[in-house]
Amino acid sequence: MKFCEQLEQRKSQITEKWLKAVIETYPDEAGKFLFENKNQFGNPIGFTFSKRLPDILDELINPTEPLKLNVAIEDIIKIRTVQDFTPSEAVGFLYLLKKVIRKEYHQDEKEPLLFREMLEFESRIDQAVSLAFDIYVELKEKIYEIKAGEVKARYGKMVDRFNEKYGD
Amino acid sequence: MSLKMKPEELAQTIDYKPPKKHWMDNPVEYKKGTYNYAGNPDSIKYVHQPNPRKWQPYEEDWKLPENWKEIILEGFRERLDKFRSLKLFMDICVRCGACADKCHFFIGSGDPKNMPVLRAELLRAVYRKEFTLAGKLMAKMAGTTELTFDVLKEWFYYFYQCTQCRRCSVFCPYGIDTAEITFLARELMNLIGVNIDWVMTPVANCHRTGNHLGIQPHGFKDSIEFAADDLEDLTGIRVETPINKKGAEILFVIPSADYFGEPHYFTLLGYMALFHEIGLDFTFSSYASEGGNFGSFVSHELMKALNGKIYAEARRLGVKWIIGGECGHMWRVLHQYMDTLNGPADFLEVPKSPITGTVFENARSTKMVHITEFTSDLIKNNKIKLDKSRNDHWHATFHDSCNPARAMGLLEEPRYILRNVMNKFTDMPENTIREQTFCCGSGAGLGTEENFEMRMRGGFPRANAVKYVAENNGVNLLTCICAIDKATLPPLLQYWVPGVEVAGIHELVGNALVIKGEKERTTDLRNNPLPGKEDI
Repeated sequence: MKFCEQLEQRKSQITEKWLKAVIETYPDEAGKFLFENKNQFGNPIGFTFSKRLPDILDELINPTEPLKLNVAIEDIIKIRTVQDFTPSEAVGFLYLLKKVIRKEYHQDEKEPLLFREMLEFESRIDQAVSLAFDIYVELKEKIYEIKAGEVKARYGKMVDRFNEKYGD
Repeated sequence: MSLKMKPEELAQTIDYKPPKKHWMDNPVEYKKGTYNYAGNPDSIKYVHQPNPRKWQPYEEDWKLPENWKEIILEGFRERLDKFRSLKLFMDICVRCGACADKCHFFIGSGDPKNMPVLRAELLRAVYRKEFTLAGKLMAKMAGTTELTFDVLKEWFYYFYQCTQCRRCSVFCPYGIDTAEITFLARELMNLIGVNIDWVMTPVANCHRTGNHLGIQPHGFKDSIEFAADDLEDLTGIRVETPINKKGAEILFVIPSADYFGEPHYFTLLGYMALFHEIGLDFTFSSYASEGGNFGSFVSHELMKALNGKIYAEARRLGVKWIIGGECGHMWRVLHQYMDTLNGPADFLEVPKSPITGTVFENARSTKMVHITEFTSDLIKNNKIKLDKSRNDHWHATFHDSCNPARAMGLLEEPRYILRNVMNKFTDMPENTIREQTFCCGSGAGLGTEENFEMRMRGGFPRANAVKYVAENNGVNLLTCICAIDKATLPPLLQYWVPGVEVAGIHELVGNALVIKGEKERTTDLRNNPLPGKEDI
């Protein structure tokens, strides 16, 4: 696929632009920090994005195994699920890749084969969005389960033991 | 928009970026999962605090007193006179930004108002407007804000998004204690009844029965005896459960979660086994049945009242000195405020370990020793026998709980104990531990279910470091010495790093401790089989 070859060659520029676009979904004052601080522990959001966006792009260009894509998307979605985003904004970071790619390849639309290939690639992105949505919902369910467990742990076994001793 | 646009061009017009606004011009929106419910009026009445009523932060009408602005500004004026630190912290910040990227809530959320400098600016902008000449003359240039209802909503939102962990203060070149700014902001809001239930109800309970959960003396006694029963089942040894024993040498104060919550409870078993083994003459108190001090999360007055009961009980029971358990902010109150709130505790003796003879000079004024100081001294002097292999199913790392680490400098003792009670221990990366430790994200009264998403944001930097040692070193246990940590780190890790559990230091001490006359130990204190004893 010629289009994917081109993407492969320009991968680092594309991920850089994609990363910038994703970081722009955060308020301006935070953007500089999220983008520039490369410390894995001092800036875990920026670090995770810098590590996982290229992984996602790799898997979209040359799919190897579904688990890889899953792990990379989950690491990002886990962060966005608990942040100030609506569900569509949380998974929408993948659509930003479309935006970056369209801007890059806009002028090549005259080449019909390449344009068709671009559309095919975009459907891969759409599939990744569906996957991201599944992960988002799973994480939300997990949050509700954890919350319920938290209430139980707060009282440990003590309530049961009091009931045993004194009756309900 | 032109209909003649091609689809690709049309797609270019979609903007995924939020609209640009100045950070001060974004009104707060109370979204589910990011705030705490308001204080229950019954609890507020019980501790005689102002404006008890039913209200919630997401409602339009907060049912404030008509003159709420005057009350806050008058309160502000009073406190500027009373606390020189507040005046200094209001004036001295040069907005250098050293603290900006140090807050776990900022790092985990990307919300700029969680940069400590900007959070404090919410208060400073009002301070400059009302209390400085420059602010009065050149309002805009001096960066001032008038106190309006929208500003109050921001105060409530963001000052209840600070866990008073003081990580930012470590980096401030002027030594501004940002947690104290949060203290004061919360105290001002409390003057008009703007507070949260997870602080006010524990405060009221603690005032009434001595502990946050409202457990009465007979319930406390039962809980401690249940623990002795469990310990007997596990070890074959019946330990003593002295409660309110007059004339005991030492008063032992623990957080109430230790005798109610999990995994705290296993730490309690560890303390009790240890004290039995060394034959310590100690007593619990059914009224000082709480180390935690939620009063410190809302007002100096309430902090003083709750801290006072520990010393009142020490006096009543006639003990010589006090040992404090694995509790977090109790230690900040103790080390940084107690002496001027209720001290100095001259009626007590300077703590001296009856087992090793060590004098705890560091506790000369407060007369209260941290359990990890006490235990590490026992280990150093070879006073207890430990079988490290009983913890071989764990590979631990240590979360420096914020208050013991940053408020009292307790960095080495917990690690010393861990290295002596287990074989596998690995520290997390340097900029996430010791005085730079990342908060659990749920301290200072924020550990509620309704605030869950916010807690996950705030706890992300901590969890991220745990994930690193879990993946690279095989760590499966996060140890800590704070009751709030023990309650809130398990859910945090279930979300971010599934498979890593949480334990107190003295749970591991209890596992490793070889007790004279004990039966063959086949399980740990959680009743899980010990390594090599799975088939028994």
